Amino acid sequence: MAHRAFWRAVLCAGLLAIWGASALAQSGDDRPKPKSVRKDIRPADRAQEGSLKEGDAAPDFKLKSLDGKSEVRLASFRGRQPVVLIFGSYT
Amino acid sequence: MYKKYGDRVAFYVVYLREAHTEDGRQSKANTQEGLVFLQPKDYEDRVELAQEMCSKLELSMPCLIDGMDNRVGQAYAAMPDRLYLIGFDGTVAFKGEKGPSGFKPAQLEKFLDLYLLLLDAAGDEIRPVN
Repeated sequence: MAHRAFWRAVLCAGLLAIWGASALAQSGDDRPKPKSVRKDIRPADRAQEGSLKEGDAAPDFKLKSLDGKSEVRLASFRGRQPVVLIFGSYT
Repeated sequence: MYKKYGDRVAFYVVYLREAHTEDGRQSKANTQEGLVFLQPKDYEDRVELAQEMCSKLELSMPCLIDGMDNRVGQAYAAMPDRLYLIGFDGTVAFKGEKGPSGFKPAQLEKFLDLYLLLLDAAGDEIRPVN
């Protein structure tokens, strides 16, 4: 159990370090600047950033598949498999 | 990315409320491309449009449909489009910028490369067991 907690801490620290280094390395490219210095984002768009951030518990959901034959619950992946979510629409 | 990691990571397209419709905020680019639709009024219409999208875009990933209350899209501030990686521990590991300008799959793929490397390095101490 202690080993698990240790490796969890190592994983978190590693991810933070890599993500920080990645952000630093990309600071000269087209990566969006921090919101506090961006003037091209309208207030309405800022609201769409939402309050959910990295490290937060992912909001659970249960949604139907395209054919309507099955339902997928996000929480069912917890402790088993990472999940990539690609949100979007046709237009 | 799906082909590369589809056996280790679950991938889902989550179809949301349409961003640009004739009865809403239409986009000139979409009009020029013939992507002219009305906002679906009920869940069946939404499914029908989602099916058309998946078919036209030849999406091979499984697709889920947000409800007409748009609850999931709102919870993730996902409209009009956005990428996420949910870690195996159920927390948000990666939150992409708001699309379309911030929709950058290459950025997520780079993160996923490192994330999975770290999981491998941690080995069985942290790797989830079914």
